[in-house]
Amino acid sequence: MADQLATVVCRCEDLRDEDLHAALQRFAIASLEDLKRHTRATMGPCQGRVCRTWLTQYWDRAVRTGQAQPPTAHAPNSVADLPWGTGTVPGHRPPVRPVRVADIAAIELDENAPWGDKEAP
Amino acid sequence: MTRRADVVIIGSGPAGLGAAIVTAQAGLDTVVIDEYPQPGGRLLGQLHEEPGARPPTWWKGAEVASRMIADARAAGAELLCGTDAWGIFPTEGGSGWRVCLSRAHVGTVVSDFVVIAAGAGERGLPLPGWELPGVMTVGGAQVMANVHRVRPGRRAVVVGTDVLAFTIARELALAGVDVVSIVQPGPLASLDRRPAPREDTAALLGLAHLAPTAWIRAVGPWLRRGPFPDLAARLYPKRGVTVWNIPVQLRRACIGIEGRDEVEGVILADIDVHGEIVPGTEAPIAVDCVALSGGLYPMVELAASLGCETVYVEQLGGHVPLHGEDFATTAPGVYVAGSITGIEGATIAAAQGHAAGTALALQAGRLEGGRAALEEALAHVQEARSGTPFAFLPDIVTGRKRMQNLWEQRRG
Repeated sequence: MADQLATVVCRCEDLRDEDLHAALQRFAIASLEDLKRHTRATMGPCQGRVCRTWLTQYWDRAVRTGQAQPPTAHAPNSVADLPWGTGTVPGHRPPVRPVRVADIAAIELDENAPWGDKEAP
Repeated sequence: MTRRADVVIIGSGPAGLGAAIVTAQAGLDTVVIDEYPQPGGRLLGQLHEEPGARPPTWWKGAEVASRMIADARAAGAELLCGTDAWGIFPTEGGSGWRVCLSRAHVGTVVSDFVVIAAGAGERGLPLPGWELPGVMTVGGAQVMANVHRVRPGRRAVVVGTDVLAFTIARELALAGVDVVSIVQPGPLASLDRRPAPREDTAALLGLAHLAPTAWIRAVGPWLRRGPFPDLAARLYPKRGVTVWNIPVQLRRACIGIEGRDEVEGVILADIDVHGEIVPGTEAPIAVDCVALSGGLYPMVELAASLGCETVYVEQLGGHVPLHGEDFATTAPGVYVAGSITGIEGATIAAAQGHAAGTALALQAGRLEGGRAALEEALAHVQEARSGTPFAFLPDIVTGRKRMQNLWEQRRG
């Protein structure tokens, strides 16, 4: 048990099993997305490449063992109708890799720019 | 850099290069993006004996990559490496896509078509101590040994008893690493995962039936002594079966990794047929490298972030973009190929890339052979699959059928 609690789950954000456990105890966490936002799990430099699937399984365990009680109406993270280990993963958004602000700023906007006006400073 | 292209391909592994060769040959301005400093993807590290080949022949991924890279460049494709495609956004005024790049090629490429051939990621194993320096995934160990030519350790233990773990254990031995043992992963308490020797033995029995490698030829007879995996798991010798001087220990598990500033050793323990640790059997083994094999998953993040619908199909390895037989996704002009569609080997990925590129060229009105050429390319994928000696995922064909059904439902 001691080993389990001390086991690192998200290396980038230095989160051990016990940190996730503490978050479940302290906050009314209703979804995997909540757990992510409370702990920053999957939000480090690897953007969840290492721990995303683990976190999904961790969440499934928490729901099954009653450590977390998502509202049943909360469809996006409902695990009731899914086989074990298949709960919804936290959403994917760009940037999907770490990127320097300078690399974003260097993008030359044109008439096809997806964001903002080319006249904007 | 702001550049226009007809096609942007994400990933220069066998799938990405397979697609690039076709689209470039069809006269489409093709740009291939890869995050690694050189093209080739996971082909660069692959080295294994072709199962059942007479005379014995070796699959040298780096040579396959060289040929495909040369073909893609000869056809006119441009390869941009050492750059991350960190986001793909719809263009405002048109129907195209803007691919944003960092590091070696900061800027954007705007194109009508995108092929995402991002490959697979490794799941790893969250065993106590897995974060210590010297612990890595089997794929990481393979890259160190075969791509960088750096020995990842002097004395290593490989954790995981799947095909990839076996293959890479041998590669490490060839690289001069003393691989002391291949063992099962111990309990992953955080994930509620326990060792499953019966299931693992059953999986090995499936491989033994195909007898694809020296590993399996040696281990298979042991497993076949019992008519059922249960019995086979019981009969399997605790000390393991030694192949290429590496003991394969299905009844021993790594329950922890220890060390102060880096890995100094692992704790191994016996497990019974139910996967329970046998008390009192724990023993430390000194190693300076641990290679973990927790399986592969489709690298879906980029496709999902640009808006491709994804579905969970267990038989394909996890969440995958919803896609048709022609590898089109729910996002207009966006295709997928290779392990992002389901975990399979390099020859299948190359055939898928070829097929996706062919379908794309057909949609762009640039395919000389027309529909018949696409049918041929799709048949090629099936041939590649039936010609492969073992599957990474045992029910991959079921998974492919399921995806086809889901796609047809989606199309109505």
